[in-house]
Amino acid sequence: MPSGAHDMALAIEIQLPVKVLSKNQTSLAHFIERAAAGDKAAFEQIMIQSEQRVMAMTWRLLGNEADARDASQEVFLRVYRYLKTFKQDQDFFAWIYTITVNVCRNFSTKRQQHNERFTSLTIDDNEDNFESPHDEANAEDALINNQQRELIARAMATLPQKERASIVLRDIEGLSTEEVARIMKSSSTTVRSQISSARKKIKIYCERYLNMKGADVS
Amino acid sequence: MNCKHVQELLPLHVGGDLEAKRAQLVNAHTQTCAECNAAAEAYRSSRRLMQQFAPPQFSESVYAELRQNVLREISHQPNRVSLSELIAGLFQPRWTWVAATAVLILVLGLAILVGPRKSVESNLETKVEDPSVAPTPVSPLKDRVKLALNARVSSPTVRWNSTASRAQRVVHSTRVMKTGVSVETARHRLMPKSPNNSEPTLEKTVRLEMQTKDPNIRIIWFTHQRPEENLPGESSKGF
Repeated sequence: MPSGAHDMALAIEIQLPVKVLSKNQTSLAHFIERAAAGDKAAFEQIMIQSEQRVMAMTWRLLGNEADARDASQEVFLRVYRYLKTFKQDQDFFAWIYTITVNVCRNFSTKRQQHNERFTSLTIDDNEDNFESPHDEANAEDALINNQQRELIARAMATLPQKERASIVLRDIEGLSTEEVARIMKSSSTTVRSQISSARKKIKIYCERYLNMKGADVS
Repeated sequence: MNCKHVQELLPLHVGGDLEAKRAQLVNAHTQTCAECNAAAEAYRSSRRLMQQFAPPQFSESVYAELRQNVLREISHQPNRVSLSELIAGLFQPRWTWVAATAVLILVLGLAILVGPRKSVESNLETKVEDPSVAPTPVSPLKDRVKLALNARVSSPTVRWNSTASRAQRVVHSTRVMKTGVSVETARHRLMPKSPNNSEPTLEKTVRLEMQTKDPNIRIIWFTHQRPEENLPGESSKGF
């Protein structure tokens, strides 16, 4: 080593953020930022990433495809309008669910005022809208699944709007009670009470249906 | 834990929504009670059905139409900001709202502090009409009080005879406290002439003056002392 030379060490410290975003989340955050600035192409990308969740949620809350499509359209219009108020540290899908629950609540109120009845999936007139199930081996399984789906759909239709939203968010979307409470703008205690009541009603409905079916068979 | 209590907790228990301690108690009970165990299984079964409650698989054309409708609606919307958005924008960031509220509270507080002084002054300016006394010209309060004092010292007083007149005096004393202008008019009432007694009896009057914080308001306390008799409870009567 030449004289006068000093040992040098270079250290680079990288501070990672507390929450490391996945690749998808990073791209979503990027699209949100651009869409908030008015970029319609970026907003279309946001829709592509969230439309399936929104349609599923609206369908579960409203029970029929026509209302689900109208409600989903309204949800995305509100998302575009209020995108500027969205903070990047928020959970985007939780935010969209909040808007979805509010929109579906308005739709339910309007429907109650017009005294519309819940329509079953099996009597949906436009069969082209549904893809044929690829993963079901035979028609019998498909029939059973349709019957179960209709059973739950009918059971859900007996629930008040808030209980329905709570049970969908908790049992189907898998959100925690606290997250559900935040979306519903309610307390955890209230949400737990709504979930308990909803599960009880669904269980009783399913038991009655199966007992009736058993009686018919016998 | 009895069956009734467990049955109430089962809907939450099957979803893992109970606290650990209660969940343990419910678990222990269902392992020993066949009925509660069957009920728990029924809840789990309906919950499994719920979780399989998937919507139908919508085709791509449904989603494409949804996107098209939304983008068309957005492009038709003008870039104007709605009134509600404008108002909402005023409250962002929140510290602006907090500062504006603080300024408003300060202004209201000053208005409340300054307001009563002005209302007292305007009160003092109002005249109280007394038909029994000739109307006196309006003059500043200090002059009016001075006039009243001078009138009081020079004129002879009349002795009270009846309790009715004492009540009357109390009523007019109250009036004096409210408005300073009434000092003069009330003074005459304080000393009505007795119809039976033609000779007025001189009474000693002690005047106690108290200046309030407001320079225009002064409390003047007059006490009557009768030299001949000192009735119980009547040694000093002020306004």
